[in-house]
Amino acid sequence: MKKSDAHEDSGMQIISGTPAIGLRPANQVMTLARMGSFHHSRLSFMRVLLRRLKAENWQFKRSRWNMDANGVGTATYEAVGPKRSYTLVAFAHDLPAEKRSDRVIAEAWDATFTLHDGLINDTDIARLKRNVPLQEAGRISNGEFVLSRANRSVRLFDYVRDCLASGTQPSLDKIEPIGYLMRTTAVYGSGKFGAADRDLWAERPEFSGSFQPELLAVWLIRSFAIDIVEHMAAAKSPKTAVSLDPNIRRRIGVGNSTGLGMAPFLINHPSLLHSWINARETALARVRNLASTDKKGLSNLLALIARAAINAGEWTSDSPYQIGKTQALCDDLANLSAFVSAVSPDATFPWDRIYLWGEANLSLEGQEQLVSLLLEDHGSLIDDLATGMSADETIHFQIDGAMPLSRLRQMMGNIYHWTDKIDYTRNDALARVWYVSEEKLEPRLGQRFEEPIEPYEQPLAPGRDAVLAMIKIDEWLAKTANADNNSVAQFLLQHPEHRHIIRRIQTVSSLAYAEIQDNTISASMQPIDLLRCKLSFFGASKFDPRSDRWLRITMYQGAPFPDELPRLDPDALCYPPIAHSDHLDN
Amino acid sequence: MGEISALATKAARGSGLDWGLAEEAGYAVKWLQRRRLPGVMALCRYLSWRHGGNITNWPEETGVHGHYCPIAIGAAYGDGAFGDEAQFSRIKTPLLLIPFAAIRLTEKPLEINIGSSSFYLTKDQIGYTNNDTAILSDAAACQISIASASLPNVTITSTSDLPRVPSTATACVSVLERFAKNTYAPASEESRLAGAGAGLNDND
Repeated sequence: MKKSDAHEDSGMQIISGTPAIGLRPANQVMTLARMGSFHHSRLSFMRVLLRRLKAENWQFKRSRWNMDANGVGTATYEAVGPKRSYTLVAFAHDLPAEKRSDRVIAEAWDATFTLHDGLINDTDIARLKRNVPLQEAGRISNGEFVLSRANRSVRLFDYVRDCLASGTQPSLDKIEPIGYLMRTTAVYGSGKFGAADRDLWAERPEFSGSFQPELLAVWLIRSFAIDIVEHMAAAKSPKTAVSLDPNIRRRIGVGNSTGLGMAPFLINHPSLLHSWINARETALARVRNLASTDKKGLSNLLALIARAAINAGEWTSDSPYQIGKTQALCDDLANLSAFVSAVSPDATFPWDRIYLWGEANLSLEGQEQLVSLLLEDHGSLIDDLATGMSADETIHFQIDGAMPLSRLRQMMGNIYHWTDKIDYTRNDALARVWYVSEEKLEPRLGQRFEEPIEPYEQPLAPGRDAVLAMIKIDEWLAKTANADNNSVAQFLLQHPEHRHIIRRIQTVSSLAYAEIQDNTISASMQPIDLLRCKLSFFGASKFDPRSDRWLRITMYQGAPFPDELPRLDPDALCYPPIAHSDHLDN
Repeated sequence: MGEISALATKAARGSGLDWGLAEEAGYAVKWLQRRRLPGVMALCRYLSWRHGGNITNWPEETGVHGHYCPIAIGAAYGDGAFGDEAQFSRIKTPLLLIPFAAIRLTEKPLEINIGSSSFYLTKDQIGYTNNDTAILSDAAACQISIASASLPNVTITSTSDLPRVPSTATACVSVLERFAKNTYAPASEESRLAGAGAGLNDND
């Protein structure tokens, strides 16, 4: 279906062999406000990873632990799979409090990490010790897939250490709202700072999907964070120190601070974005198309709603934007619970009925939480979709120059019809500029009419660029109505300035969910919506915006640790257990 | 290799190419380096020259002193703007043209004449005559045609392993980094605070 026009009938695609409920149309799904309300689901990459590790019976071992009383030293964690092995190498540092910053502009961290391909020897560890602690200023090799670093939580780390040192367990009431002992402040993957190119491992089945090496590293970093706090508790008070209770430990994930560095990703990778959203939308459609359920199915959903409500209640943020959304979510979940309680087990198409009620009665935050909850209990129906959540972007690179220009113009009218309601002559529609700062080479967002940054603008405003190209194409077509040189190739030979957007148009034309249908440079755009969307696909929870352009999240909170994976179901643990504080199942 | 492609894209953009063509420069460099041909060096030489040199825009004539841009002409050839067989009076750093000829390969091999040297392309092989003269050519008349002769003896097979950019290209990488820097806005406290979004305690 290359270069066909998915946008002409977006929303009308019917999954083969299923009744009439189609995928949600792109113009409903692909708005920043909705994308910024996505929640993790069964198809999130952390959950895909843990399902695979469990199914394939991967073995894990802390193979080195050379740490002094101050918590400075080296540790390695091995993950041994059916065919290949990987090692997380961790370097723990003694970081003065005044140097601890989550921002990407920091230059020192509590701990630094790399994921090594295979089991590791001491020579490689020595090489990595010279480079990994430097992060962006160092250099890793084809033998490494991930580079990362993390800081301790000032709110929680010392508290947990002191509790354990004195022989007591930390309180879940303190742990739940924070959810982590350490926060990663960057997890760099393929091709960054010398790390192996994605091409080198893309065919490995254990990494099929998206971001699997990065998320394997983060999951092992979580073990390191527990080990280092227990180590320091024992160093502080060897006679009284205890280990963390497994039920408390499981409620500790890994934090992450993410800023604008991640924001352009979804715009820069349209075919990948499509593959993610398409999988999630297909999953939703499959569930909505189920003709019936029973009492158990409905009670399972009610239990999930109750657990999601606990999660929402523990979701704290200082951001007025998120506080409003979270409050709406809490109300939504209460209303949803009441509605589902009244649904008869004999109702036809019960999930579709519940979904449609949600669409009419819930906030976007609540609607998208409902989507995730509807998927939860249907693993056998939808988990196969995870394998399709990646994209070979090279197949879209080559421009179809033979395409008649009029055909391209017609496609643009369909794909970018949403730009009709944007007046790009107004300053507020053009207010922002995406640019890369010389410092740390990180994407940033500036004010076009207040800062001298326009010359550095990155091509991250497809709507505006499409409108400019359409104007130029219309002029060209008006001048040469009957000429035989009205091909895309001839137009581009004279107008190379539109080459980037025309490549994009031909890419997204066959992919309904590839383009965000919003103005990504308007004065009112919320960059954190982009971050939230991407992080929900990772599997993050507890989104906590710290401003309009960076946020904190929690990863793997509730998930099993390596030693628990054989006997626990990771998918059953990703919402908080009901009444966790007085019912510690094990 | 992905990293070098990204660097080549930024360097080309930093030298004034439009984003779409800069992406083609990234493609060309990666294509060449994967085949152990000096794409980094070629782009470094081309952009260094372009900094002060005069580009002739198609369909103007180059005359004796003008030059076509290998990336702009290459991309247009790849798009099909010139048909499968084409000739150009003078192309600067013509090694950069070859990855674009590869785009239009069918079952029939292509012959690319660069000055007095010839390259031959098939789906999975690249061969060339006259050793390195064509690889290092500064500027030459170029002709792309359907190959009539069988492939010459010197042959490089497209490699399935991914060679890293050799250390001999370090100086060229530095030059590309210098051009890439033109795409970065100078650091300022305003940018650090406003652009990246500070304002709340991040150490907790």
